[in-house]
Parts: sequence; structure tokens; C-alpha cells
Amino acid sequence: MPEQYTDTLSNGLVLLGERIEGVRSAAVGFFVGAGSSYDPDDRNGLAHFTEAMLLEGTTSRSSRQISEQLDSLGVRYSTSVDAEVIALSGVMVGTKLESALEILTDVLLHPSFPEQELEQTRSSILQELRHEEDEPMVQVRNVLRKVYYDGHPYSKRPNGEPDAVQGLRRDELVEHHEHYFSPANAVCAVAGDFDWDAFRRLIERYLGSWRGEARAPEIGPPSPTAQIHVESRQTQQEHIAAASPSVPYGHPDYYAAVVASDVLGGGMSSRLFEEVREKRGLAYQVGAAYAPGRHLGSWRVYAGTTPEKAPQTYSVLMQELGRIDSEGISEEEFERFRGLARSHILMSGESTGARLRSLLTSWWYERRIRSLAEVRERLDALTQDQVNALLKQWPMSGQLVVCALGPNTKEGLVGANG
Amino acid sequence: MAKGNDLLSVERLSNGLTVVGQRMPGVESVAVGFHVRTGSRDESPDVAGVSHFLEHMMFKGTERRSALDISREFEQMGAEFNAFTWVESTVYYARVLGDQLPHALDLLADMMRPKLDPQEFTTEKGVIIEEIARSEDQPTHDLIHKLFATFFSPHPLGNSVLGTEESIRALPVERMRDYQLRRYSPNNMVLGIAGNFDWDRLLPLAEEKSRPWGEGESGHAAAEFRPEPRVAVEVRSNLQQEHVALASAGPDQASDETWAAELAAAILGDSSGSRLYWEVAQKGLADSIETEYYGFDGAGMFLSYYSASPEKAPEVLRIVRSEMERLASEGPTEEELERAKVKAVSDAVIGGEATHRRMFEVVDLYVAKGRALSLDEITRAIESVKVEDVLRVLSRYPLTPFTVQAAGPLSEPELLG
Repeated sequence: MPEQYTDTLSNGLVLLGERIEGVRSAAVGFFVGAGSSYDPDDRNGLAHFTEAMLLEGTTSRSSRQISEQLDSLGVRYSTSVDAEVIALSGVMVGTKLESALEILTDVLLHPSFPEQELEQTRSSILQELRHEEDEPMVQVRNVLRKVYYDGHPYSKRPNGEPDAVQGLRRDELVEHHEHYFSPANAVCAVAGDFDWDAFRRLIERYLGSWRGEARAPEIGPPSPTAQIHVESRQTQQEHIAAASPSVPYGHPDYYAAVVASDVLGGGMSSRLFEEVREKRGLAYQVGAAYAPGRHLGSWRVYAGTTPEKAPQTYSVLMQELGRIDSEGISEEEFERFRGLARSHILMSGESTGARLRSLLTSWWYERRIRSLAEVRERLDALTQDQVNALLKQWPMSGQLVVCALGPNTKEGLVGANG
Repeated sequence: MAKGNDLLSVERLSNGLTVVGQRMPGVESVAVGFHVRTGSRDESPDVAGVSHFLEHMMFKGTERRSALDISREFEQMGAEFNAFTWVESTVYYARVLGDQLPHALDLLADMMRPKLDPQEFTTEKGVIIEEIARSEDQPTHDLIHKLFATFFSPHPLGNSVLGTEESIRALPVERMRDYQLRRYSPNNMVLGIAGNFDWDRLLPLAEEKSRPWGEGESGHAAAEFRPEPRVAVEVRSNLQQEHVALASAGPDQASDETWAAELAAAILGDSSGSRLYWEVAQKGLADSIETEYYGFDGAGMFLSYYSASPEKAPEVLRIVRSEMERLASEGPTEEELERAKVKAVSDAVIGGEATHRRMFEVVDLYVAKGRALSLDEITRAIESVKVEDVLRVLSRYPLTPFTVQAAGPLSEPELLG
């Protein structure tokens, strides 16, 4: 079984590690609490713009030097942003870890936000946002986020709104970085082939003098309101996405939620796949998932279907949500999908990138990490009754927000009484 | 005959089925799959889309199992499983923990002789038609499909993988049955495996499971490919960005020049750190740009695609053309080539840690080159490429003039100037 490590530097930076035997790669990454939730309301895009500028130059490296030096080490690297964090990570052959860390920590701490790159990056972001308009499957998720989290910081689009991005100034980016990038507001993790003591010394060397006390402010729980929101678009399919509240990260019923959502729509033998696709041929893509969150998680459902079949698809989706809430899941379903979850989690242990994400995410939302052995024990201890009790307490059709994008009107999709 | 502890081997079973496997000591999982050398290029126009439709039907039941049995069994054994169809291959695979291998192999092998129930066949037509509609809502996806048709036709590599709503509706189940028996013969299939397994137990099992399969066709009908640059610009005013794909011929998959071709494509248009990245993406002229090389049986292609605002798209096209010409005339610098090699080797090493990815790689290279390549051999092949090799492949396969496929607000004269 892999060994896990945690430590905290004197400046408050938390370090996490998981050694995986038999691999040659190492994945290293950082989360900083500087995501889009902290964008001021008229400045939605600040976090993404800041994130996109990290690789555009530091006080001692140009963007080209950063790229060429990381490429020469064979590091596959990226930055990203979501509602809570800006992430920076790289996967490499383990022997390159030391050299890669020197560059990645420079990128994290000393971005210089050069003027010319700023305008180029602004143009890239504006184009990326326009591109999303051409992808209805992405757009329907954007619409759902906005409606479901209405009034909550999570409602902000993580990569920004064009008008705000247009107006962002360099000093705002510099300030966002200065304010949120502090050791107490970040976590660093490594997974794969590394030596923990050597890794700790390296981090101490590169990040030991990092100062700052700032912590991102606590984000409160969202409170979604049940509704059906339909937007008209000239697309080939009607894209239907829905969400409703469920348990958060770290909840004792976390794995019960994973199993419940998989029974509904997590694979080829799931209920939605069977009822929507296999029996009726209504959709190619249909599924459900459990998306954990800080104070609340959510149940998620998606189906894409041609406009004529959309009303029937919608009614089958509603019927199946109602059925799992009222009847629960059978013992056979429970065993099958618990086994599936167990196997998938064990197999994910072979990917350094997957383990890195898991370490960073569990620390961020739960302030602790879990070994695969512990996950396995929790799955072994799970019961069918626990899953069914969860569905009573957090019904999938409770406070359900449905969004649809496509040629149908609301009446056309859900009928006159919707 | 492979010994229990051989790491990499190719075996031929008595019925003609080839087994290509890579043992990976220290991992728990094993990926196993059938690679069938058949796809849209093996279809006549009246059965357009049959390979892909068949891939769906392979999950719909056999003599021994119903559709639900198949998906339930995969999920009961904790498998990650999937299938995909492309122009000249159809692949079915599962990734499981090692102790489930006999079960996974039994199920996959059983699926290779599907029942093709007429009722299920009719219902599944609806799913395929939904998949076609979905593809049209994904501009990049749709663009690449159309580019293949424009670039390769009348060569069969230009055949549509999904087919059309009309061809799918008109297809009788008998034609699918006939196609299946002809194309899914052991001499046209490769059983690929990578991860936690043992040759001495695998081979007798594979032999037993595939014994009843009869002979059929193998490979693809030869067809001459004479590339000529064409232009197809589709005006779609509902799109915000102009989506553009460019293609020119490249070496075929068996050629020794594929390694140089891969590196040339990466130097020109890898998603980060390449010439097009610096000249186009980093300057904010497009939201993304990428160049890739694809090798096929008897043909190959360099493919570049980008999406840019209608104001910038014509300028980007000019930049891409001039960067292609510059790379072909000057070649890469030593440092550029070195970086591209380090990235390619690092990708092979890191990617090769995932059993399913190692399995795809070892089978794809076997199909392309006729032998299995270890990670060390792949590394050596990449590292041996010199600047002259890149220059040579680009002079034999010029990147310009190219075929243009585009969709978005611009008309042909607006895009091409």
C-alpha cells in the first residue's frame, strides 16, 4: 500500500505526499484559494486572468524561458481555475522533480504580469469565451451554474464574463495575486516516485521564505430554488442539464452518494442508460453524477436529445428521479455499483496525476487526506440501508433546477403544467 | 511461444488471431481488448456508418448474454470498459484488476459474436441518429469529420465514421450481419493486453475463447491516394468563432519516417511551446491551435486546426502558411528538436504507466509496423531523429499547399483573402 505524508512549513504552507511504487513519474501541484468566487461582482474574470498570466513571465524568466525550460525537462504542466482555487501542476519523470520545482515555484510566487503579454492574454481569454458560445454542451453547464447558484459566489463563470475581462487592469491582477497567494492560503502536494525528505527540503528551500497571512474568506452554503429554465438556441439537440442539493465533501454519506448517483446514471447498466438509451433510443449521451461541494454537494443529470424526442426524454428523466427517491435502490444494484466504485478507486491509484488531484482536493475541502486503504474500508462498511436513507434525506428530485438549451420552448419541453 | 515472464511478446494462435502483450510488473490492473482492423474505409456507400453502428450492437447481446447481462457483468467485475470506431479500426477494451482477467476475456470474446437482434437493431438506430446530431453541436468534432471527407475522397479514408441519418435508417440488419462475419475474423483482429497478467495462463484461454471463429477478410482494400489541395468553407452564421482545419499528406503508418513526422508536427503545432503556439495562440490571435500527424494503412496526413474570431481568422491562416513554409525550408533548430524529443519521450514514459494507454500504444504500433515495440525501443526511435530527417520528411510531404475545411461566419473569399 502506498505511503502518505503530511507536513506544515513554519510559514503555514501545508505539504502532502503519496509515494506510489512501480511508477517512474511524479506529479506535483498547488492549490491557492484565489478562485472565481472571489472575483468582485463587476470583475468576473479576475481569477482566470491572473491564473492565465502566471505562465507569461516572472521577475527572472520570460514566458518563453518558462516554457522552454519546462519542456526541456519533459514536464507536462498546466494552470487552471475553478470556483475556489487557482491550480498549478506538472507531471514529469521523477528524476526531474528538483529542477521542475525551482521553475514552478518561481511561477507561483513571482509572476511579473508584463504589459504586452497582458493584452495578448486578454485577447485569448475573450476568444475562449466566444468559443464556448459555439459549444452548447458547455453552454448548458454555464446556464445551469448561473441559475442553480443564483446569488451565491459559485454562480460566477470561472473563466469570466467578456465585459469584465475587457475592463480588467494590470494593477487589479497584481493585487489579486498579492492578496490571495499566501502560504496559509495554499497547499502543495506530490504523488508518485519521490523521496519525501528530499521533497520537503526542496520546498523549504523554494517556498520557506514565502510570507503572507491572508486566507480566502469562507464561502457560505448555496440555497438553490427549484425551477425550470429554458433558453432557446438553434442547435441540433436539446441539451438538458439538472442539479439538486446533496451531501458535501467529507460527509459520512459521501460514498453512499457516489453509489446512489451511479445506480441512477453512472454507467452502461445504470437506470438512465437503460431507460433512456437502451430501451427507447432517446439519447446518445445520458447520465448522472454526484458532484461534492463545500457546504453542499449536488446531484447532476444530463441528456442530449433531438428536439422531437425532448419532451419524452424529459419525462423519463423526471420519472426515474422520482422512482429512485421513492423506491431507493435494490440490494443487487447496491452490490454491483459498490463493487464498481471500489475497483475504480483502486485502479485510480495507478495514476500519479489522479492521486495528486485527489490529495489536493481532499485537503482543500476536508483538511485531511485519505489513503486508498481507508477509502476501501469505508466502502466495505457501506450498506444498502445507508444509501436509501440518504435518498430519503437528500432526494434527487428535491429542489431540482432544470436547464435546457435548444430549439424547444418551456411549454414544448415540459408541457403546459411544467 | 512466450514464457510466463516475458515482458513483451507477439503470439499467433492456431486460428490466426494475433496476441500482442506487455506485462507490467508491479501494477494491479490489466487492460485487455480486441482491435479489429475495420472501420469506415471498409464500407461501401450503401452501408455508410455500419462499422460504428456495429460497435454499438456488439454490446446488445450474444447467444449467451443479453445486453443487460453484458453491461452488468462488466460493472460487476469493476471494469472500466469502452469501445470506439475510427476510419480503419474498431476497438473494444476493458481495464480490470488482475484477478478478473479470465472473466473479462470471456465476456469480450463472447461479444465478438453478437446476436444482432432485429428489435434491438431498430431501437439502436435512434441512438446513432442522436450521436450524429450531437456531433453537429460540437464544431471541432464536426469539422474534423468533414475535413477527412474533403481531403481523402474518393479514397475510402474519406468515408464518414458515423454515416448519415439516411444511411442509418436505410440499413438492413442482414447487411450488418454480413459485414460482421466478413470483417471480424481472427486473421483481421489483434488481442491486446498490458499490465498484470501471465502469458502461460493467457494464451490457452485466448485460444479456447476464439476457437470457433471462422476466417474472413483481412486488412483493407488497397486504394490509391492522390492528394490535391481543396477548399470547403461552410458559412454558419450561428457560430461565433471561425473554426478552421488544414490538411496535407504525410508518410503512411509503416514508414520509417513516422517518428520524424510526429516530431515535425509537434515542433510546428504542439499545444504548448511550439512555433504556432508562440506565433498564434500566445499572441491571442486564436483561442487554440494544434498540429498533429496521423498515419494510416497506405496513407498519412498532417492536420492543423484552430478556432479564431472572424476578424483574426484570415491573418492566422497567413501566419500558419508562412510558418509551415519556414519550417520546411529552414528545418527546426537543434534545441527545438531536442525539446520536442524530450517531451515525446516523457509522454511515452508517463502515458505508458496507465495499462490501457500502454495497451493501445503497443497494439497501434504493432498494426502500423508489424512488430511490438518496447518503451526503450520507442525512446530510441524518437531520440535517433535528426534535423535532416525532419527536413526530409517535410520535403517529401510538403505542408503547403493544404486542404482547407472551415465553418463559421466567414465566406471563402473572406477567409482566404
